Amino acid sequence: MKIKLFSLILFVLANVTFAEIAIPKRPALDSHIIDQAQLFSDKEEKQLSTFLKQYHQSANITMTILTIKSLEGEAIESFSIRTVDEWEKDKTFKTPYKSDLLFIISKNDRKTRLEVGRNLEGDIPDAKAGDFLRALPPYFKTGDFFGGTVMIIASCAEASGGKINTKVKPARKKKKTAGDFIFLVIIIIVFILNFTSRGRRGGGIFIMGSGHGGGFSGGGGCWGGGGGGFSGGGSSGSW
Amino acid sequence: MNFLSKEQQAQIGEAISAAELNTSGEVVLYLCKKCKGDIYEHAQEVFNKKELYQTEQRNGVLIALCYQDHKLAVLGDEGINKVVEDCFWDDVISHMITQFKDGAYTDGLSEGIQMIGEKLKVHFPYQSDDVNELSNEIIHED
Repeated sequence: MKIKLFSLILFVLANVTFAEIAIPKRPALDSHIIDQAQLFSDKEEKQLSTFLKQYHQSANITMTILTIKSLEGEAIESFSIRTVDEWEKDKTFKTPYKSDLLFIISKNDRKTRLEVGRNLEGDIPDAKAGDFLRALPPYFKTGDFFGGTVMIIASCAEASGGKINTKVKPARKKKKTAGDFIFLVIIIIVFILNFTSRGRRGGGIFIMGSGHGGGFSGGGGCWGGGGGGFSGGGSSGSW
Repeated sequence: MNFLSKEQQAQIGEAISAAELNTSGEVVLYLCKKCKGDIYEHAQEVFNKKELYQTEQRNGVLIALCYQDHKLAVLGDEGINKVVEDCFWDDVISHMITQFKDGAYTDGLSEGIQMIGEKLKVHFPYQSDDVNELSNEIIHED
């Protein structure tokens, strides 16, 4: 009983008093990948860089890719807004920071977010950004962060008149079918059950972020749960 | 490994084999010396890294014990977690920790494994075509 109470207190504390993680330094003018979580090899990083350059040259759109290890409890929406705010204020370079698109991957939280600059909201509205992120799990679940990221770049490029030289297919919007509807209902039921019966630390919660104001909007996603990993429950303690 | 002698490891190995007898469920023990951060999160990483979710009925159970930092976590995959009562994992943890406090690591582990085995036998009875999906070995990392 003692243990239970202790871990409960720890759990509550962990949720309330998380320290905000530091925002990485704004990227240099010619670099648009910050791979803090080390998801990409050197070769992959170069390749992504090339794609981002091609995208910039063909559509005059700047896209930044940021990977972090963990959000330390912060919501990915809030982290990404903080990042953009901070970078815009940063005066390290004469040219102010401009990112039309910011793609964030938090490795341990298994969350992603695509921030879309206001100038691009016509081309990539929230719903579309959500579609792109929903196409990620097949890649990320198998650890193919490179392939998934290329797919996101390709999807953004296609939607905004850019061109990158890859065979990776952009995300396609699926037509809604009766099956999708049933799937959605099941997800909602699972979601509710997750909260009511197995509240403590069950995994596999389906989360979709939604856009909001402040000049930026976008979509969030997560690739946890389901087939590719631990999705049960358990307990822990110390002595 | 200094933490458990060969005999103790063998005893725990037997407990795991006994727990897996007549059930399709799987039990894996992970031991580490030190553990930075939350043992529960660390255990999840181990669970995924060692691909313990690769069981047909998602009934793999991982016991993660960090002996120098005195931390313990027990994780049950989706299949087993769905069928045990809410407090089951807490019960296993507190039972084992009571033993650990007296320094009885081998007994604590064996009994914890036994408790899990009993649940597995009830909910995932032996199938004639059952294969041992995860190896019985004890995973040890410094």
